[in-house]
Amino acid sequence: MLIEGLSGALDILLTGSTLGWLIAGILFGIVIGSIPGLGPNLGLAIVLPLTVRLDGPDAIILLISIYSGAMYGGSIAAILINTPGTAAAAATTLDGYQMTRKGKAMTALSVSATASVIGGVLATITLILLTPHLTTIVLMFGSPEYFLIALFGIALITVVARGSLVKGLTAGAFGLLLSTIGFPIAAGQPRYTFDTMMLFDGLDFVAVLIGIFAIGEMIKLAGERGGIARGGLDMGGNVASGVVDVVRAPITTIKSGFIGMFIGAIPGSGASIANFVSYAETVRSGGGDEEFGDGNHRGVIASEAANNGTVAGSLIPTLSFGIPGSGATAILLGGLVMHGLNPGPELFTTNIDTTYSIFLALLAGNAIILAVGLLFITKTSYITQVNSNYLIPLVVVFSTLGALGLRGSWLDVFTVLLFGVFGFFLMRYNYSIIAFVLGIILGPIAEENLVRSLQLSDGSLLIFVNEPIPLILTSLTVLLVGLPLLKALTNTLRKYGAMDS
Amino acid sequence: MLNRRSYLGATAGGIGTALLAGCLGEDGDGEYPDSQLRVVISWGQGGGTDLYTREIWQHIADNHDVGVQFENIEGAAGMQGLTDIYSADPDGYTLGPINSPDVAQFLIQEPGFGVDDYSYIGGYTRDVWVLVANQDEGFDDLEDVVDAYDDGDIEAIGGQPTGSPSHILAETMQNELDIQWDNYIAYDGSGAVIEAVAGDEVPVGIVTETAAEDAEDQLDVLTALHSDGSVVFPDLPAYTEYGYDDDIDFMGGFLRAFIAPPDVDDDQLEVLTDSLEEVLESDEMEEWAEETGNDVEFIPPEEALSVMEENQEEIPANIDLDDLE
Repeated sequence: MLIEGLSGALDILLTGSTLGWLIAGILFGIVIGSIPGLGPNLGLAIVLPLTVRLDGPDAIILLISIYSGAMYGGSIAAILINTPGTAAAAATTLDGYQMTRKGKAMTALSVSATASVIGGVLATITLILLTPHLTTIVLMFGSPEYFLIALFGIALITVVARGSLVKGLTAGAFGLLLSTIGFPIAAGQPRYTFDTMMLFDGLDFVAVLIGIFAIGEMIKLAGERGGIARGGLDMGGNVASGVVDVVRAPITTIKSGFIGMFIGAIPGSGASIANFVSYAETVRSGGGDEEFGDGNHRGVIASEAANNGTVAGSLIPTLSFGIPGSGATAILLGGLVMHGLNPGPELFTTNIDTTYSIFLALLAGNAIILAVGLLFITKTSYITQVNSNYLIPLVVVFSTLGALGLRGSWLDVFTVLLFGVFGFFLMRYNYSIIAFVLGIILGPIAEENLVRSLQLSDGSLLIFVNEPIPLILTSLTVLLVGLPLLKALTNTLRKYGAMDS
Repeated sequence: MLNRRSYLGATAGGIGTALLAGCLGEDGDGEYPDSQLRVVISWGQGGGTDLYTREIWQHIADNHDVGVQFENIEGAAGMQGLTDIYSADPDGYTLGPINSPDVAQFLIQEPGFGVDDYSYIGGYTRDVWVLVANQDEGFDDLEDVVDAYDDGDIEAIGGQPTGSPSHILAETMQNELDIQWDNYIAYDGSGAVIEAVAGDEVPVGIVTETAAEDAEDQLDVLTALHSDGSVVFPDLPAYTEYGYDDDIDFMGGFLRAFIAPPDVDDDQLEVLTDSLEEVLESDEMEEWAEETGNDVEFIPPEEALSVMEENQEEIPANIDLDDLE
């Protein structure tokens, strides 16, 4: 099946203009990733509605290429001007910018390109090898299992909501509530539609995501000053030594790529966590023999190999169960659904060629990143000097026009604008955006499958524990929610115990 | 793979052409149609109705040497776009597709007008629903399924969301044919029903013949739910071959037609109907139908309307619409 699927995928990739979309996606991704304040989420959000007229595979390959390119692009501004283009490259600033200050900017950019590509390629090859097994697992999932995995995703809000748990749960619950607008699949009565036909199908979650990730970010960017470099930059160092640096650190590179892939595969987490975990692991395994934070190329490798590894990892829950691993994959999920490629068994059976073509596109995209990264390094500094005053109106216009293209409904335009403002305030008051996104995306999956499971079991909840997979998923969710509570409880008991003694 | 036009058409192109059309007005040579046609498709891009409509009306527009602007106005189970067509100016330039099962949505949503208020251009194809079963159940025909329900060996039947045509069909089968399923399980689309039946979540399901064709090796296709049988499965017995009267034909069949707003001029309608017939019977369409497996057939407007009217009468007479909520 693997060979058959791959050859079908190769056909898709080499037919028509697919390769052109791949290259365009990577280049656009690199540019959008390297401009501080933009990033993969925004790039995907503004391009997604424009893909309406493309074939499904072309559209998805364009989107995944933007995602992959932006992951690498984020490192450019991180290294050159100490401002990560994306949150995924935040850890790259720690050593990358120090290398620039020491006159080794080109070496650092070369390390970043090489490490990104090796991390990305390793994770993608692993994903391709895992796919036949994933298929077996996905085919074992029915309504009870889908409900439980959606519930598990919702429970992850307790983990992904960094900072205040109450704020995370509030954002998640609000997302869940919004997802109940419209006609539910299992009942003939509309909910919260205020008798307007426009709301019968609820809010389009893609429009919500465009609002939050494009308009919201632009409002935020409009309020920021000094984020974008204006002066000239010293492009010292050389390309070859960067490549050699990475080749001489195979363990750091491979380990970081896999850390990225593993963290990327956990729904709700993503590259913004992976680059720090990988950096921390590299510092730890250095055992104090090495200095980090002062221009160590291994710090750049750790962060960059990991963030590109997350791309392949985050595709696992997205394609298998429709649960996004990150904001960017949430938008990618919107793209899949928009083009009739529903996550789940179909993507691993009838549409397996398309699935493999996405993976092959990732591999080919990495080759382009390497070529662009190494050949045009000296030009990259220009990108970081783009004036945001020109970007903001462009993004706002594209997002609004794009929203109209989704379903031809003005409701989507209002949704984009309203949720742009809403997203800005979410960010401003530190409410977890990914918790909100998990709520709005997983709400309908959870509800539909819960109702169906209970119909199948005549209302018995035993359907969620009487088979091995449901039992494992239920246990995981209970542990996920229960452990922090248990920990808090034992801490309190210990405190009282100490007071008693 | 489908060969689609450049993505720019999605937004800028669509809006641009709309603006252009507005600026140009109807200042052609005077012979109808002499300016751009607006075709409102009430469902998403890439679906069956969308594919048929674009193919057919592109040809018709080309034959008249005018432009055509396709607009997908989705939502409310098709009612958004169908309302748009109903309220459009009856100048003969706005039209769109309608499917006979949509009648149910008119009855449930009560938009203030009925399917018989539109001007009918003509039908372009028919489809039927079929009953499919999980292969491990070992059912040979409809009688085995009926017995299994009666004996309590199976209880559930899978279909599309509550209030959808397949749900109404399942209710009608229960009322009219006395097929005593106990538990209707709703899925989002024929693909999901097929997955559920193949994965043994539900033993039996109702899907369209074209959806069943794609999954023939994973399922047992048992019966066509229309007395005319199935074009896709010519050897498949129709339910009437088991001694039933043709009481569920009004829901078991599926007619696709094109409509225009009420009160379109008769002469203009005649031009559109003739153009539709000419294109459906052309060699290009025949080739397209063979290539894609999408069968086409010209159905006169009177016949299309009468199928809609029959549905409008039969549905409330056979099932309690309040039960669907």
